[in-house]
Amino acid sequence: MSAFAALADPTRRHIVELLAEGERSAGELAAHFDTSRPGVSRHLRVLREHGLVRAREDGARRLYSLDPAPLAELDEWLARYRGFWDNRLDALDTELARRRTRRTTAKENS
Amino acid sequence: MSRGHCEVRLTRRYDSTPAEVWGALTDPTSLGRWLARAVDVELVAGGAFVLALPGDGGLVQARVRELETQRVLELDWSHADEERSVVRFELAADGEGTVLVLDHRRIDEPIGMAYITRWSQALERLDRELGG
Repeated sequence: MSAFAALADPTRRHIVELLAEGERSAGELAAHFDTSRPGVSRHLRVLREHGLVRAREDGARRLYSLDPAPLAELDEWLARYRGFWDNRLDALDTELARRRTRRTTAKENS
Repeated sequence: MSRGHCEVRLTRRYDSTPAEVWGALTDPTSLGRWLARAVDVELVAGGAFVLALPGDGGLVQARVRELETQRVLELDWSHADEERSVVRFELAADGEGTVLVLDHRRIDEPIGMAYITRWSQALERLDRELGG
């Protein structure tokens, strides 16, 4: 399962949305769900395993927050392909002009 | 559902007919001049569409997912060790010319990606909130 596929689960998406607002403890998160507290903890574990969420100890509590790393990876992918296609579509324009010229020349010679 | 952040979409208008643009998209010699050297191009659904990128760019082991002459060319895009993605060219006549829409999207769960987008927007809001 990829990091993004881990978000196909609606409970996990909701957890991510809550964490987008700021750090939360498992108890605070569980208050938003009908699911049992252990159920929420299981989802948090999956999110952590996929690098989407991280945890830190704060006294007796463990606080969860979003990990921006997968986002950075996505940005990098988008930037690379946007640049690649931008250049290639310019080159396509040149190629089409070449094809037009060739056709015109062929017509004149016939 | 917006997928704004999870795909590359570029729109261009060319002063050539859809038939001409289609020719440049599918003719191996033309492909070599604007996209990448065509190693193996088989214009049928499920057919190979293998390109060699210049320099050490490596091979793109693409496959034809959808084909509608002068309208749609959709490819399964697989480059080196990257996750698989989908590249789609759509052509539409526009007066004397052609509008080409290029979409390049990742195959990852689109629902997940949409949420990543919202998450990204939330982080941007947070940045602004923090005066970043």
